[in-house]
Amino acid sequence: MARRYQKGRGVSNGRKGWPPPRGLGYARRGQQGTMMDDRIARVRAHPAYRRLVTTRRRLAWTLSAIMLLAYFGYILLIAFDKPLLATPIGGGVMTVGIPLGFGLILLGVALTAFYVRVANREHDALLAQVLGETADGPDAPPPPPPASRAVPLPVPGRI
Amino acid sequence: MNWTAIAMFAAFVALTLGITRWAARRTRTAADFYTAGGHVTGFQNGLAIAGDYMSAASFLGISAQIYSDGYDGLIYSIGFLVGWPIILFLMAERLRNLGRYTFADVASFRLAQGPVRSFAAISTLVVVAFYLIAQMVGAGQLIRLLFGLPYMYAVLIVGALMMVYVIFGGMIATTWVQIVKAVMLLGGATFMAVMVLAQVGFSPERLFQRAVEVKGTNAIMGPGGFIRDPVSAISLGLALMLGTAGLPHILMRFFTVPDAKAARKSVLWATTWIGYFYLLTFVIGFGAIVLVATNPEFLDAQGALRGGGNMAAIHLSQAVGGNLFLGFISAVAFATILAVVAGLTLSGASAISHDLYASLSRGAVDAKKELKVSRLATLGLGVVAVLLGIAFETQNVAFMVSLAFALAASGNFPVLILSLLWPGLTTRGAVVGGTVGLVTALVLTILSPAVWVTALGNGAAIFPYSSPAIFSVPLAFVTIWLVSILDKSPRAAKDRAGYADQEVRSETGIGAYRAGGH
Repeated sequence: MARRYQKGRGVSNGRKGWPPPRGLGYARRGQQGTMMDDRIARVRAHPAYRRLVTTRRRLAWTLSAIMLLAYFGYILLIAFDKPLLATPIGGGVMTVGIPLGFGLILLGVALTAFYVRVANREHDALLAQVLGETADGPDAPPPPPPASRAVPLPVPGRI
Repeated sequence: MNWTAIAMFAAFVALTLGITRWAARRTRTAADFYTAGGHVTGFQNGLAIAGDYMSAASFLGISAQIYSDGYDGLIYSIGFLVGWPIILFLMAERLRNLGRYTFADVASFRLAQGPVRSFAAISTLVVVAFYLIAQMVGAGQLIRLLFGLPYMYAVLIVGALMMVYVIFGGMIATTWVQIVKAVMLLGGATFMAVMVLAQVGFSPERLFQRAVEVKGTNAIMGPGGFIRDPVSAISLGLALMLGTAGLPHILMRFFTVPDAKAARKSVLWATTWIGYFYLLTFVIGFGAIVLVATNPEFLDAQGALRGGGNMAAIHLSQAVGGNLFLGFISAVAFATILAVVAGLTLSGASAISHDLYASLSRGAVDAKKELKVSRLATLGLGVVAVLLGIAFETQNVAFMVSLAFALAASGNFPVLILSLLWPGLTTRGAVVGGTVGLVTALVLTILSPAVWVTALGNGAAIFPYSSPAIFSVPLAFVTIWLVSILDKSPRAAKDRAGYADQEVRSETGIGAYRAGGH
């Protein structure tokens, strides 16, 4: 298996960095678990990485919980109290259910926009810091063999 | 024969063939074919995802449902939308960081390639098959109505054009066809909604009032008979929400953008367009009650819609924009089916060539050969799609899109999300649990009212609820968990140990496949 994909490497469009030296499960057999990429190990140990993962997860799970609670709250209303959603408001035929339903759609869009905003402002800065400070530098551990160095460092501005 | 519609559709086809020719010159490698070389921007990808999602089923189906039942159609729209934020928060960036061409790349990242890819490929093909049947049969029936073409011709035209797009233009053509269609559909729907609102002085209250007058009841203003019991309500909610996150042709789009930042941007755009589209659909459905149901020109002797229930939006287009706009919306409806079918076929073909062929065949597989296989697979899937479309012509296939969602929610989603988030997942757990979820969803759907009673003509349904997800999704999760924790094989130890490395890569994008070069 490993050899098959290594073979694929020669024809991966001349695009550097694929497949990565380890990971993606391709070339990993037999060495996995024992020697993680030095870079990966440095990233894992970096305090900014821990901070990135913690803050990103907290945000992601909080927003997911809000969306799930709102949606399943709505579904439970439909399941157990349809008349409530059909209650007229504003003295006309408009019912509670319509602004509530539209509100859910808008909530979905708003939560998405909020996440992207925070990610652009905070997560990207932390990630750039982690990647910058763990890049292979002069004091980095002994360089891997040339083939493995083909992994391009992600361009900080674009990640 | 509706010549305006045919002329507009011919113009659309000419444009898309031009796009395909342009794309064909840019489709040189497997990466170009599967993922447009990763050169799609977040905004473009957002439109393309929205295009994949705004199928004829959602445009004609949901507006028709609002036309007949009012509020109930909105419940469906909401379910289709709320999966997107969850995809963004938990999956989108990780998918881009770990995957290359298919979601199986991600699911099998630290697991044994062979079994997990085989499972993912089979599950993909099953979901794609049901989705394709629904689209092909819908295409044949719709086009027979709109263009006056025989069913068989319609299915053949869709099949042939889709094969041309995918085989020659790959993902580049498929994406651009989808973008063109999404813009046309959003533009057309906006025009319709604005015309409807203009009729009522831009007052929603007056629109609803007139709809209630037409219907003679205000039952359309609240949830009605569409969701009968609490279990069905929750089950359908689960299937719609989680199914989105397991649809292979949607997941594949996350690999067409250059990086994780563009991936999250695409979800924001997609969610925005899809949400906007569903708000329009609601206005269009109510507009059809007011403007179509009151006009004898659109009704048959019994007072039902001419051409069947799904025609509400089509008739409305004539009511608000005359024959020219009717032609435009008919052409858009055809284009929609075509674009969605192309996306589905491409994801099915990648499952065959990238996941089954490349990972299971013995010996070396180079990218050129893989590309050839994926084109052959497209050809094969195209032929199968046409045959299925013909075979199912007279069948009731209305349940098949929701079946595809239920299958995706029960098979693909649990495996994918646990592979991303749970270190304890093992190969055996993923394959066994995913299969259990898939099979349970399939069997329960066959035993449910929509198939057992409506399609197969049996008496009472053995499984009384409209969607299996409330049983099949938790069952899949529990099975995956149980099999994984009981798995003491050497492979399981490797699977668990691989998580640490995968986690760093999924969070940072280190080592992610990036289309550099040109």
